[in-house]
Parts: sequence; C-alpha cells; structure tokens
Amino acid sequence: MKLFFEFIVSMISVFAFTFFFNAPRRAMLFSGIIGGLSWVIFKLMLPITGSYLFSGFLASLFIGLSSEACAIFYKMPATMFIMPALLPLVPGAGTYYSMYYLINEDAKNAHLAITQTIYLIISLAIGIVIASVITRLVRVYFRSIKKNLKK
Amino acid sequence: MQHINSERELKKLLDLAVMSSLIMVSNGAEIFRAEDVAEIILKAVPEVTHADSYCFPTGVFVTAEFDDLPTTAFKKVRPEGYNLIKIEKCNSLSRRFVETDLSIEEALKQAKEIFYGKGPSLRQISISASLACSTFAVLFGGGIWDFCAAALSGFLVSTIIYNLSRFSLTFFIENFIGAFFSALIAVTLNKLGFKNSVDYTIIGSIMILVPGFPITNAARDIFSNQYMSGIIGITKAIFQAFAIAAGVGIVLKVVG
Repeated sequence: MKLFFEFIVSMISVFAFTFFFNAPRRAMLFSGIIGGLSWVIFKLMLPITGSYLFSGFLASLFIGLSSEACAIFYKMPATMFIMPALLPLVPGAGTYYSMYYLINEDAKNAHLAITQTIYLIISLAIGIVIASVITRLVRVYFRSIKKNLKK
Repeated sequence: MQHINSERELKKLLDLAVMSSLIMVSNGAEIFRAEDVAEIILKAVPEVTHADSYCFPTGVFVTAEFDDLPTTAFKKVRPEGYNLIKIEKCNSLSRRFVETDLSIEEALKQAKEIFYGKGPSLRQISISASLACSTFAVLFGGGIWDFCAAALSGFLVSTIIYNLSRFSLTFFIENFIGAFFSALIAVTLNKLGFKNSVDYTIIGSIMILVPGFPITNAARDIFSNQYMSGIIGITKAIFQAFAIAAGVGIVLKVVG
C-alpha cells in the first residue's frame, strides 16, 4: 500500500518535471509511468539486494530499456523519456548533503554522503549506458536478419 | 537527396549542421547525440566526402570535406536550461532532412525558428515547479504540512529564478539566491507556526535547483568516451551543489 502511494507520488512528480522541462505532450504519459515504476523497483530491490549500487543499477536499467522502447515507438530521442523519469532516483539531495556536510566540517557524515552519492551516480549511469548498448545490439541484429531475408 | 555545387552552398549546409548541434547542446541533450545529428545531416549530402563534429557543453565544432578541402564552422553555446521540445523538433527536422527532399535553405530557416523559439512561460514553470517540489518533499518522507510548505516555496523560488535569468548572472549566483530563499521560506513558515519540518521542506524545494541529472549525465558522457564533456559537467555540478549548500547553510547558521 505504501509502495502504491509512492508510485502515485513519484509519477506526479515526474509529470510535473515533464512540464518543467517543456517536454512534448505526447511523451508525458509514458515518462510518468516509467518514472513511477522505476522508483517502485528501486524501493523493492533495496531490502532484497541490500546495496544502493545494485538496486540503482536495476532501476536505471529498467528506465533505459523502456525509454528506448518508447523512443522507437514514438520516433523521438530516448532522452525525452529518460530525463524526467530518472529524476526521482538521481541523487540531487545526496550532492546537496555532501556539500552541506563539507561546509559544516562534519567529516564523518560527509564521507558517508559522498560515497553513497558517487555510487548511486555511477550505477545509474552504467544502467542507462548498458540499456542503450543492448538496444543498439538488438537493432543491428534485426537489421542483419532483414538483409538476409531480402537476399 | 540534396546536392551542393558551390562553396556557398556548402557553408549553408555547415550552418545547418552547426545550428542543429547547437540546439541540441544548449537545450540539454546528450553530447553524443548532438555530434550524431550534425554528422547525419552532413553525410546525407553525397558530395561531402568526410564529416566530423565535436561538441562541448560550451561550444560546438563541425567540419566537412568538399572538393578535397575541409571547411569548419564553430558556434559558442549559451546555456539556456532544459527545453525538451526543442530537442524533439530538431531531431525530427534532421530526420526529415535525411528522408525527404527538404532543401537546405528551408531546413536552415526551420532550424533558426526552433533556436530562437520561445521557452516555457512563467506560469508553466512556476506551477510545475511547485507541484514537483511538493511531491518530492512527500517522497523523501514529509507529511501534508511539508507538502504545502514546499509547494509555496517552490512556486516563489522558481518565480525568482525565472526573473533573475533575464539578467544573465552566472549559474552560481542564481543557485545561491534560489537556495537562500527556499531555506528562508522554510524557516520563516516554521517560525510562524506552520507545522512543517524544515529539513523536508528545504530538500523538497531545492529539488528544482540541485544538479542530480547533470551529474548523472556527465558520468554517462565519460562512459561513452566523452571525457572532456564529462569533466565539464561534473565540475559545474560540484560548484552548483556548493552554491546551494552555501545558500542554505547561511540561513540555517543565522536563524535555525
């Protein structure tokens, strides 16, 4: 129940960000749904895997794959969907907290916040990159099948 | 299929390519996509024997070889913030240029129209920012009071930032002032008897400022071999976070 509530809230926030970034109207619905689902995946995986790195990676892999699918379907660049959908996961608060602790000379908390933020950033980036690599491979594969059929 | 016969036409084609790269970069697309768009446009013309594009978050370079002579065009990027609809329009323009018989002049005219087109209005920005801030305050664990406080603070801060952006101050000052006001509003509401928690309200209302997405994008750039752009993005994000933390920190030190 709590997860469903969070799904709705994160979906609304992604919708708001699609307006904020002036995204095309056609892309809004799916980026909202992708954003909400990825937050749920992140929250579900966090107790199972027990690491920020892996659950962030899984959530961003989901975002990347579904955004590439939407991009092919709507004939738009995948950024249209990735950018708003990634926003709930992205460690904006983490970057702020690390800088805040650094300014306050709170070394212990700063260390924790910085490592967590860097881990999350890297895992999110790897997830998106792997998703785009997978789509590229699938495209090349289907293209080669089409060529073979024509022959 | 478009053809070019003279140096003049080549320059028009180069202008089109550099313009579309510029639209992509200045509105927040990935660097590799901005490079791709220019190269796709140049390679659609059979007379161009070689095409290269090199983009930074601060400038775009495009070069094309015609008649065994290379010609280069360069444009400086003035950051405008995120505007996804311009990226989509530019993408579909390059698609149409490659697939149909759209003439170079017509395409150049359309690209300029996209580039000088208007951004989102103040009403759209402020309402969406207030909704985004309030939902983020709830998502990070706040209650209904934090929701209301973050909505008010997001509305005011986005209005302030929108009006400040006309003076083209640096991003550092803009973020500092935005964070300062969001912390000030959160603390003031709390002192006035609003039952919001200062922490959740602040973290919700600076969500439109914090560089979460740029820093992830920079890491993506590095993973896809764009080291320079990645370094530029990370440096900017660190200083942006510093400005926000300083803005919030001053208020909390003095009042809280």
